[in-house]
Amino acid sequence: MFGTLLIKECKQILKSMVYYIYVVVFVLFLSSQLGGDITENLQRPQPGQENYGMTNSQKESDIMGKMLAELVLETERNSYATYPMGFYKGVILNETELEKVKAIVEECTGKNWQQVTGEITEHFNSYDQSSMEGAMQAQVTFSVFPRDDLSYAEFCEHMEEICRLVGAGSSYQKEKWSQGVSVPGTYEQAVEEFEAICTKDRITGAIARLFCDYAGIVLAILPIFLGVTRCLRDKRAQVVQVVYAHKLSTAKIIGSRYLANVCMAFLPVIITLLIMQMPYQYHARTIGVAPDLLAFLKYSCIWLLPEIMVVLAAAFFLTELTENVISIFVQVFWAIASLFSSMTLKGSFGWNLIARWNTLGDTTAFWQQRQELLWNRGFYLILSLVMFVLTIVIYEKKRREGETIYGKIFKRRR
Amino acid sequence: MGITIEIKDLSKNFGKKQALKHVDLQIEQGMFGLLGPNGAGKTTLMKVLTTLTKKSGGQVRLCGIPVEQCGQVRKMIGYLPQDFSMYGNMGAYEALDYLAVLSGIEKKKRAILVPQMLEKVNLNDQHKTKVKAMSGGMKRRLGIAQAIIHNPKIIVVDEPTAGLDPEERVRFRNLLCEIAKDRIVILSTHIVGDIEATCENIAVLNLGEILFRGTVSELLQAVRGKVYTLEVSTLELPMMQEKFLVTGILTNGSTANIKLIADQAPMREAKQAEPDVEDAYMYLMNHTSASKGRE
Ligand SMILES: Nc1ncnc2c1ncn2[C@@H]1O[C@H](COP(=O)(O)OP(=O)(O)OP(=O)(O)O)[C@@H](O)[C@H]1O
Ligand SMILES: [Mg+2]
Repeated sequence: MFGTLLIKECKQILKSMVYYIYVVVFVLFLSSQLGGDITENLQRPQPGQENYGMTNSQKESDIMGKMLAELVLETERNSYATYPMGFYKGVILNETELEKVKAIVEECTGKNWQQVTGEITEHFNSYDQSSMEGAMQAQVTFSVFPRDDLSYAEFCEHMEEICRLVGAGSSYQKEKWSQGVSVPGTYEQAVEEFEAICTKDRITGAIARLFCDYAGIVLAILPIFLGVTRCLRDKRAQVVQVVYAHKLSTAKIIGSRYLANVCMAFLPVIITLLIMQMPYQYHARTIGVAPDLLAFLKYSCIWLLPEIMVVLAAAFFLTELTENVISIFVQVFWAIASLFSSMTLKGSFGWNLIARWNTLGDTTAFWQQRQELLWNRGFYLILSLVMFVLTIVIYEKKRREGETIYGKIFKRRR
Repeated sequence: MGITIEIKDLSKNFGKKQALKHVDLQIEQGMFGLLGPNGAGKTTLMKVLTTLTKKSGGQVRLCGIPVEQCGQVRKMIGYLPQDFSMYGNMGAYEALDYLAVLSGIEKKKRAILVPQMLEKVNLNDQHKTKVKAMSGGMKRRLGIAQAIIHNPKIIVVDEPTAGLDPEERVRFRNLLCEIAKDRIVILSTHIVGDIEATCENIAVLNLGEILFRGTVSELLQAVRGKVYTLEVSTLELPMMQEKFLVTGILTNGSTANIKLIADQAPMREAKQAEPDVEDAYMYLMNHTSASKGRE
């Protein structure tokens, strides 16, 4: 009976307008983000290239160099970018605060402020600032060297002081840089990184990861509409009483609806990823790598499926509880909060609903953080099961008592 | 265990409002009519029987099973709600098939039963008609089909004939009578004619209380000899309506033939008439509300 009902529910979804909107929005969003050809970033690096991309470095000297460089540039402009609640806020310091920051710069570098600004000008003048390429290159290669005897612990203390001066959400917060900073890669590093993409990701894995990064954003929101629509359809069509009075158990009724929605929401995701992966399978073969043909399946099941499940479960739960569309507002807020609370666009998964890895490759770094991602997704998987069970409990309660808990509280007041 | 419904001291409150007050009823096999004005509590009583509302007090047993055992009870009831509807984008066949799945009927049986039931309710040439395109009567017929498809022992239909044309109404009544042969069919209505034509046993409900419980002839017995017909001038009509319980008026020029209920003959020229259920119902309603007023 469960299987039959599941198929019937799937057919119902296929007949609904909301589902087609879901598919179209999903595909449009992804193709707008991932449309271009990115195979050129997946070539074996050659010696003597102009640059070898960026690489993440956790070396203390690199961290100090990059952070001081950023501090010097921002101090020179007296404009500090901060993201206190996830939204941008430019901070301008007053004279005394600015002097304090400059003093810290002088203390860290062992040079006076004039010398430091002199170095900035010198560095940027040596690049062709008129071209986009040159400006970028100047930015990424700029580094300010700390004085030789500055210890890492001292540096950390100075950064804390800066955070106090500039305020919350600046780039000087330890969480933002302790995972490493972005520095220009060397040929050796580029080769190493490329080897990692070829052996660990086997090309398609890296593609799947980038796909999951974008898909994860829309999938925090789109499935809400499927869930809310399904739960409110009974009320709209006035079939609540009829369904209640039938013999089939609540677990089977809700279970079939939930599972049908999960499957139908996941289907376009997995198909899109499979299609997007195909050119890269071909590309992998041309550069002599055996592609991981199942990468699309592994990544979408681990990365995206738990997200779809938890978003749908929350939509089911809130909608059955309140019998209105409030879950759309709550869950969109949840998604946006998660999107802005992620510290970086790459890793630091934490307990974020939306897991980000907005880069092609960086394979070694990803594999270091993979465990964190697995814990994160495991958590959401369990959370979705908990909310699913709660939905059953609520539906059963409504079915037996003929009134909602929410209705009891709010309708009486009228 | 025979097919019976026992209701003892049943109460249902919605907040402070008492929709059912200490209802006692015993329902046996056959058609059972539940009669009462708007807001009498008919739907509420039916919802208690079909596990859709939790009772506030008392006991209800269906074929010996307490109504609290929802799963068991749902298996043996078929319910046609007052405002039955289905998902608008489903065809008749599809909708009935869906509900048959909810009743736990196997695929093979559904393939036989669904067309059979649609034929029974005269929808056999409407398999593909979408529910949203159905008339009220067609929806009701679909509703009755879903209520009987799993062959339940107890069928509860809430105002099934409301909004049907006379021809359809007669067909519907006959269908219900046919089904009622070896089970209980509980039918609620405020159309007295339906009850008269179909039900042997009836209960009259008003303001959550049972006013009368018995057979149709027992109900008629209460007014036998109290129904009179009389010819009066139309000018006298308002006065007559004030003084007596007038259940029928047939005007004919300046005179009118009226039917009224009174304990004694109102005038010498009044002739005694054969009572029908409507007279009895009106008498009952009037009588109890009058006696209530005196208290
Ligand atoms: N969910 C509810 N909340 C509050 N009061 C209710 C609820 N359902 C019914 N009632 C009240 O209970 C009383 C009985 O209602 P019920 O629907 O059982 O009447 P009915 O006999 O079916 O009337 P009708 O002939 O109009 O269908 C009414 O006064 C109604 O206002
Ligand atoms: Mg009613």
